[in-house]
Amino acid sequence: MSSATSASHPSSGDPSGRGADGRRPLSVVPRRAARRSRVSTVVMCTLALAAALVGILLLNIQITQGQYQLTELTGQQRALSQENEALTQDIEANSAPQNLAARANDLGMVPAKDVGSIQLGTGDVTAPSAPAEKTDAQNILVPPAQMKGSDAAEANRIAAEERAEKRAKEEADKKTAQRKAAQKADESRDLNGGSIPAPSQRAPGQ
Amino acid sequence: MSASSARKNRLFRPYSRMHVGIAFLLVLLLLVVGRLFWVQGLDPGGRAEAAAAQRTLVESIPAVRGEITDSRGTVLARTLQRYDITVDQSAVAAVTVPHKDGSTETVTPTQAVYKIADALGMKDTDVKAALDGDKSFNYVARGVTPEQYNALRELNLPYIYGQPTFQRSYPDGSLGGSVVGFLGGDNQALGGIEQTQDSLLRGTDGERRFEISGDGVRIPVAPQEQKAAENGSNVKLSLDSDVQFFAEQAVRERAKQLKAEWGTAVVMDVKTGKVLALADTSSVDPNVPGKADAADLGSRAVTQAVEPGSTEKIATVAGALDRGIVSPTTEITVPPYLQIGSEKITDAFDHGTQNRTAAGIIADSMNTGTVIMGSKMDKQARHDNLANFGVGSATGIELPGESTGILAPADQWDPRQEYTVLFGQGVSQTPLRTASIFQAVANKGRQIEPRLVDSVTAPDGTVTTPERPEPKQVLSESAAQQTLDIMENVVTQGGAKEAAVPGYRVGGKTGTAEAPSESGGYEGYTTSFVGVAPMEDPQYLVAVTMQRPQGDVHTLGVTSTFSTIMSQVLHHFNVAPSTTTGPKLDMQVPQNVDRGVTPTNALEQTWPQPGRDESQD
Repeated sequence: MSSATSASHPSSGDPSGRGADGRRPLSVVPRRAARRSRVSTVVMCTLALAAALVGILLLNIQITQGQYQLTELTGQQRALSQENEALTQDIEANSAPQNLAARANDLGMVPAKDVGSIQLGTGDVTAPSAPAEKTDAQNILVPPAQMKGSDAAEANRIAAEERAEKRAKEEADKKTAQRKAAQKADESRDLNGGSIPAPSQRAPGQ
Repeated sequence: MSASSARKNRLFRPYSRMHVGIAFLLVLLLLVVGRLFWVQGLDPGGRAEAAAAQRTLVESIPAVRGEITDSRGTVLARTLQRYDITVDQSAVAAVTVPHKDGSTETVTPTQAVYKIADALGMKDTDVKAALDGDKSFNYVARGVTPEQYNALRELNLPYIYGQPTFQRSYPDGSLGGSVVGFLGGDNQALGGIEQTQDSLLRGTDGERRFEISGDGVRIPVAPQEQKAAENGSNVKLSLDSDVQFFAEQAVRERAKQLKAEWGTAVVMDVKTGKVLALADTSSVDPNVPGKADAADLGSRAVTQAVEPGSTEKIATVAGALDRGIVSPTTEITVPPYLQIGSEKITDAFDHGTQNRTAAGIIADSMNTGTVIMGSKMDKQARHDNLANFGVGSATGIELPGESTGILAPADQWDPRQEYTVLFGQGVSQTPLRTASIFQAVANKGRQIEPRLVDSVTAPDGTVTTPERPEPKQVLSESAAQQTLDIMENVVTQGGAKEAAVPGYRVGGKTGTAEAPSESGGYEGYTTSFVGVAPMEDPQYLVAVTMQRPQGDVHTLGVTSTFSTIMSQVLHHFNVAPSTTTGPKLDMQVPQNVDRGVTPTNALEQTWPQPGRDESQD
């Protein structure tokens, strides 16, 4: 296009300059300027094209990267929500009343017997109120849940089994001790040289 | 060819061979077009539909089942994401699997078995059994956790698949298990609230429709439809899991001491009829319903009808008070036993002829005195009195398998039964119904049938409250108050001093009934205690029942268990201690004994009818 205009200009400009007397020929300065700008137009266009291409490329990279990020974040979200679910399950297993009570027992806590209350008007503590007394650990008779897929539930179950074993062992020990004591008492009884104990009379009122 | 010769030709030979050919082709074309229109346009054979159906794949989007929570929002049943692991056995072979770092490894089926077993925490032999064979679909494990599934996915075994599914999880396990209920293997609700509220909890499954090509690849431009799943609603119960624990622990401790067959405890809010706890001595762990005994699957306070025994005397005396037959201080002479025709009615303790007040009769749970009082109602009135309290009908609580109990029509009663029903023998009802009678008495005579469901929250957040049963005035307010006074004297002066809760005014009634044996006759006892507190404005009710405890009949009581539970309940709900003291009613007036009363004529004695005005003072 630029070559066509440059070729036609001298041919069309010359006859008009020749035919007019003393008329000043039209200025061609802008054309020169145009010729100079032709190179810069090409450069500009090329640059614009390149910029557009680079822009699109960057945009594409951006989008692709965004896609990767989205996938990664979606995966992360799923993983987190699943972790959250698992942790919630653990919390719920640990906060089940029977497990809480059993753990409180392990820590040596005992149920409050007499609970007083404070009269807000006078600030008095009304009866009955007394400090709790140390008693034997309560035997929690409600078994922990057999929930699947929770480590905490599993741990609570094992702890309950261990407690039951310990309790059974203690009871067995106690019985043995009692039997031994009874045996000892039997042996130390004065049988006056014989082997049959004398008949004992029941006291009135028993 | 010139125009004239052509015209001439046409005149002589109007149809050239070419014309015939064209016409023939046109007809053929018409046939083809017609056929095309027939097949494509009209499609009477439904070919297009059949083809679409062949292409279309429908995948269901399962709805997430709603949660069940207690009144404080503690979750009792929750739905968790799980995976079913399946295998294509025909594809099990040595495979080369890529690793994350780009390297590859060849995994033989034997190696795979060990790896899968490690990832899923299963036995090697079980995994091997699941992988061996030539089925294209077989389960390896069901309901594995997302953690296990992720570990398995990292093995990259091409013949192992994971299907997302849901699993129901019950954090409290057997605590309240029979109330919460459970699901069967195919997610069919089989017990408790899970069963009765199934339609609310279940939700509606959604579905996804899309078209696939012949080789099973999804066609991206084809139309696809997606109907989102509508998740189930959350159900909030009036149950309080802490109260449920206290009640279960207490009732289990007592049942263990007494070696009882079973025991239950009901804790109820007197003002609303809401059930706060339904404790059982043993109940199903909904996480593993298959391991439970059949008897543990339901809540016995609802499914088991027992003869209530002396707790029914409260219904009798309330009926007598309401009908103006007696007042709490009405004096009645009670002989050592009653002889009505051939029937002899005795008390649980030996006594001579005594002059008792109505309150004194109930306080020491005298069958004889109760019969004298109650027999002033005719047979039909005795029946109607019990029926009015709901005996013989179900409460309608949201639990499956509720027993209605048995209240025979008055004209079918045998000569003994017409008197024994007055003290709760020859009639049967659930422990929940017994509690409901006391609820009516403690709530100014207004009976509200017990309910468990507090509210339902839809997935969009709208909360609906199920319609509560209408309060029914079964007793006048004054008669209810007088009955409460008598109940309080049972604890302060009568046979249930162990039921007292320090700091609070409580009232109630013991019950010891002979338990009907399955093989006929009676075997063992049913002991119970039902009480309410605080008496100045009753708020909570606890009913403890023990079936066939072992040991001496006088030591089988559950009054101390009642006291333990009631004390915890009052403290748990921050009830202020009582500042007043209850009325102290006379139990006996020995100087007024009517010497003319004998076991045979005791029913004929009369006493001045209490004035309505006097009784209300």
